[in-house]
Amino acid sequence: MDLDLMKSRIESILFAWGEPLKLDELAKILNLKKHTVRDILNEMSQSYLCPSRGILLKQFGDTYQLKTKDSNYDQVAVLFKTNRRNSLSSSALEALSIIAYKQPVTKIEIDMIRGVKSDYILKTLLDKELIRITGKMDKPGKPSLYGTTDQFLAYFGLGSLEELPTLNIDEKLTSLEKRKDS
Amino acid sequence: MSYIIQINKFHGPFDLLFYLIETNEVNIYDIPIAEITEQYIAYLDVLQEFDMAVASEFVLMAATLIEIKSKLLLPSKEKKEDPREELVNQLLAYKLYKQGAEALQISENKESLFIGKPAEDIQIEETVSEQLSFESISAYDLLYALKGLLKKHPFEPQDDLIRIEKEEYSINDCILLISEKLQLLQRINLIDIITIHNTKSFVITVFLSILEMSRLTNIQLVQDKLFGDIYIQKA
Repeated sequence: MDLDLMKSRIESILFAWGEPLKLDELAKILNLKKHTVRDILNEMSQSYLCPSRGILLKQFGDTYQLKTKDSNYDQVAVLFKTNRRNSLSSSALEALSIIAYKQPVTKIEIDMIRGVKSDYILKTLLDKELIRITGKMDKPGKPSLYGTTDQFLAYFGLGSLEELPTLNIDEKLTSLEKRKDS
Repeated sequence: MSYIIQINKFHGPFDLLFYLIETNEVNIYDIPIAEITEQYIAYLDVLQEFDMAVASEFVLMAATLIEIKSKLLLPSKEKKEDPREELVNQLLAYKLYKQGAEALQISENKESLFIGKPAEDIQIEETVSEQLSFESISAYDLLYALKGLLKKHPFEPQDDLIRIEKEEYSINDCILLISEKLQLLQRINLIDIITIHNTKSFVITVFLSILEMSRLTNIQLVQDKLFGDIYIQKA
């Protein structure tokens, strides 16, 4: 295998595609094993760290994407309209936070924690492909279980779910929950 | 009006309750229920004035608070469970995920500094021509072909006079002409026929005759690609 050739091909593919691309897909296109492609990608992302480069190779779960360096944001942003950023509402972030940390989780659980109905927000998040239905709970009514997607990781710049910011869990809460469970 | 702004910033009953607990600087494990309930209901009154639908979600919490308050007022002989416990539990769970939401917002802002391109709809022309049968050629395809042609060969009026031209070509003539050509060639490019005589009436007559011939299924119309040239061939 010609490593340089593979790197060049991967770079072309990622550049042309733009959005996060699945490792599976890359492996299929290049006719290589997934772990080989992953190794090449890791090597590539190291070389992008060079100060003269303006592009980074970022990994979000099982997907990879070329993005501009954050330190160049101010210069790149000059070209964009000011309303480019379309961030999520606090309600959406609340629901997303519950799903991210507690997944798989049902709508009822989300509603219980928030104290309000979350139907509309869940629909929006599903539309944005930040969450997906991961399965059905084996209980009467077969409620849907929600979980986050690779798109979620990409949106928040996380390599994996392990990179979610840690929460300061109140010790009293865990003891309360434990007591409730027992 | 400032009320609306103030009220709308609460995303739910827990959010409001939390706000009250924080502004009153009270211990979450020892909530002065009477005081908090009173403040909560005061907010609720304002809220209901503006938005009944949203307010309904806050009413349940008000009822819960009142229930807890009344339980606390009742004298109890033995030491029972604190009626506030479940509420505190829920509040803490809410606090935890609210904290998660805030952390996510920071991540969101951080990541938005890395700019990625949205996927582009890159269309690579197929080298293998897909043959569209006549069934898939609509009247609109013919219209596009005519439009393209008229664009290439505009029929500008010679002067301001309105000319009424004699019908030089009949549909029958054209059908004969096309049939003759088809005897010699496998397929004919529509443009080649039309450009034999560069007059509007001829183009129209050719179109009408092609439509007539395809209706009688004497010919087949073939298009290699979308918006491509239309070919005439024997059926």
